[in-house]
Amino acid sequence: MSERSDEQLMLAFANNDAQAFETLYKRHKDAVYRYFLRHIGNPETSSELHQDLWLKVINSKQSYQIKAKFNTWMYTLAHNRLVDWYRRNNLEQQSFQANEDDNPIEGSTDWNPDDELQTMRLSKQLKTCIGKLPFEQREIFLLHQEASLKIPHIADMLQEAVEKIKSRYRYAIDKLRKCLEVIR
Amino acid sequence: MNQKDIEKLYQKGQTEKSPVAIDNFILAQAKNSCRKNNTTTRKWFYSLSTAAALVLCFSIIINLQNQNSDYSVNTEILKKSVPRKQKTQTPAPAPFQENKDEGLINDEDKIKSDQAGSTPDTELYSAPAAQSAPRTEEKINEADDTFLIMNEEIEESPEELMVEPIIEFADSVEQNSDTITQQSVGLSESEKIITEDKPKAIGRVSAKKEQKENNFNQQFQNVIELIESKMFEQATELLIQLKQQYPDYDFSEIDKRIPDSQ
Repeated sequence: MSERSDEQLMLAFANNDAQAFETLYKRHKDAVYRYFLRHIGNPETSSELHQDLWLKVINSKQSYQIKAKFNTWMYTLAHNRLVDWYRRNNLEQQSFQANEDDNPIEGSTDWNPDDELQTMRLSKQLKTCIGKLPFEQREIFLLHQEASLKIPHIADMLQEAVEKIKSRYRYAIDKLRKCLEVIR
Repeated sequence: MNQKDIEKLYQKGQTEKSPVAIDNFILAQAKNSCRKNNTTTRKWFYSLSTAAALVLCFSIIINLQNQNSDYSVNTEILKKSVPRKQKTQTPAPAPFQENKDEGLINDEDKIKSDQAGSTPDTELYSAPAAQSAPRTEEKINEADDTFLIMNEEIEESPEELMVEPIIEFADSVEQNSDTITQQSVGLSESEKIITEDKPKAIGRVSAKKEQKENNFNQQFQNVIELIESKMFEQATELLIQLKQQYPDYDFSEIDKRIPDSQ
């Protein structure tokens, strides 16, 4: 039996199928939590925002319509919640400064995926580097990696040009690569 | 390290999971929202079923009222067709033609009853009076009360058919009324028509009545014959028997004709 899509599960939940919501939640809960955690870095605040988001999903079930992918809809809510949180904590200036003209850090690193110890160390370093990214680049990187959204979908979601999103993503990757080299 | 390596490295480091407590809380909230909606749906069904029941009740009541109004028209016709004023008149004995015109239905009432379809109870009521049947005022009053009670019952329970109360009324009239003379002395043509048009529903009542009337008339005639032949003792004995059989009948006229009784 083929698995039901996110949209089908959400519609089932709108028809009071609690089991459908459970399936949907288990499918996305960790990614959403990591999305907030990578942005904020604080597990408690991330949990709070994570809870707020899912409660909003629950309360929006009656008004849910399939106009876009469920992922896009839910991460739009997550993005808005995050922006609210930044604004409430007077962090918007700092967070939205997309400093794309930073000088790239020179250096290179060799990563052996079979080396688990190195992988763990580099993964931890990568998370630290993600936290150092400007908000807009980090947002695009996380939406692409955690929400599995493609660049055009992210562009639609953020109402930006696709090329701009592509450029930001490329900058994010470059910065992460250079960050890893510096840390190493 | 290129873009793919970084993406792969990031995916390998996706180990963080949402707190279990928050998971439970969110799932509980989701279940609650489903329950609330179900309750809302149930409430909607309750209100709908209540509304439907009310509509049904009102429609039944309105329907009953409509039927009631139809029956009330019928009962009005019945009331109009019954000669109430004449009920207090004591009809004279049939053999004496001097009182033969008493107790007759007036022409106006007869016309009304004819127009109303000449209901059987009306005819039953009017027939003994028309034929100058012997009856007392009390019996007439009882019969009238019975008729009024029957009317009230009809008005209260219009769903019942009119046939049964009519038969009951006919029975009460039969019980309360005394014999009716078969001699159609004093009957007008229209009254004869009314008598001829008795419905089948009261046919059995008429048969009993006729038999009773015949007995009374025969005995009464015998008494008169005995008086005329001046056999007063025998006439007195027969008259006593008649009085016992028909205690409500006024035999004063005959008593006057028997010298001993005077």
